Amino acid sequence: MIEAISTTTLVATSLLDSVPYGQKIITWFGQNAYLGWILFIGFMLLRTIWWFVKNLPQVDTFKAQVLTPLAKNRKFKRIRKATIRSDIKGQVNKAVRELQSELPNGWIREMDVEWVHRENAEDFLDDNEIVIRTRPYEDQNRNLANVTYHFLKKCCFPKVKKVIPDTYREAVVLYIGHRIIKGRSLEAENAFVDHIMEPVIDKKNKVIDYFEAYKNLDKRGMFTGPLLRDMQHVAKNIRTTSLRKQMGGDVSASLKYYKEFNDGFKNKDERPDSAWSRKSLFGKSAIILVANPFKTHFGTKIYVNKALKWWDAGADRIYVLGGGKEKIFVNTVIRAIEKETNYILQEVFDQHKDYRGMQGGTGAMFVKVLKQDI
Amino acid sequence: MSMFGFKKRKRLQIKTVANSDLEEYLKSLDVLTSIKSGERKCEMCGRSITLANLEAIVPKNEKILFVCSNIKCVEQI
Repeated sequence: MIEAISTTTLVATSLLDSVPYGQKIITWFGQNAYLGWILFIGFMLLRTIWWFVKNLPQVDTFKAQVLTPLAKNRKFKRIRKATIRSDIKGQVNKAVRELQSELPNGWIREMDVEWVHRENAEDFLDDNEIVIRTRPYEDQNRNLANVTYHFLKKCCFPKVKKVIPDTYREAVVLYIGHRIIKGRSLEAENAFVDHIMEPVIDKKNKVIDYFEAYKNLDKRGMFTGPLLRDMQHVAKNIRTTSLRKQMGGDVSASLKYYKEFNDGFKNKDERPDSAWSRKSLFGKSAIILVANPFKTHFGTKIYVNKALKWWDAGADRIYVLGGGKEKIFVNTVIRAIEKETNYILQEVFDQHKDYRGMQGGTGAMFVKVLKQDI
Repeated sequence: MSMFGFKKRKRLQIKTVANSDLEEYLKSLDVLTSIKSGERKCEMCGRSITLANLEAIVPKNEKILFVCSNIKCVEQI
């Protein structure tokens, strides 16, 4: 402890030497060591608290709850706006933090509400951002539904929005939006359904079929796990080719494949190899399920061999999925595949439900990078 | 900015105009008069845009366009 303090003092002294009044500060600290340390620790504590205040969604939600009684009075315009903003930020960002590790890399990040008061036409067009109107605080559930919907429309399928057909993309936005809003309250959920979902479904009635399909896949972690990643991966790789016109067919085939995979789960050990892989518009994908570690005596060789087999079979990406209770073992398997095969680990992700339908789950996506791609 | 290993992540900004600031904002864009006179139409369905039904303001092809509160129009944005 004393050594640590000495080292810190030495480092601080050498840094302070190079700044204006640095020598005076060093002299003052030398004469008032205890007070100096108290001030320093107090300062760092305040900085930490300030960081939490700025960054934790729960703080925004708490702030909104505290301000709500005042927000109901139309006279307090600034407080009303602060309440609306804190409430939306808190609710959405809390859900984002939970979803971030489930959704594909780079899809979702925290949001903030930027109030606009004045903007000239030139700046508005240069900024090229849509401006959403929020309603008074009495209609806060509708505000939350609107902003969440627009936020997700902006986030989902980065760079490949125009490759994924409308109805599939819309259903993804609605499903994730519904998951975010459901956690808030029944009134918020009703507002989302009334103002967002119903009109969209009324206009494009296939959306509800895909919404249901995603919901069923999500019961075994297949929606946010392999499906969305596969859609993103395929779309990204075919967007500069004429194959993009066939993306709708590929998504449809992908949905059918994962549905059959889920439905046939109970007989998974009897399934032929072909049931574990799918040929898409861009290469072949395969799935490896990690079983209870006792079945393989905690060995990883069997999974490495499966990955090697898929490599030889030409699978350009594999999804390794494991149960929530076996997270440590699943991570061991993932490291082993990364180390002992030529597959590149693209990302590790969490799952809402694992492949057995139990809470939690861990997955990984590996991709094949050919020598000519490097 | 990084502090004790916590990285400040860049947040996605959603531009919003509060109900109470709507007129002032539209005036700054120089479109308030045309909206009040009923000249502006919803880009999606063609109905007249008013201060009550205006839902979103959209930049497109160097023009300022408007979308009404009908969600069938909003989801097309």
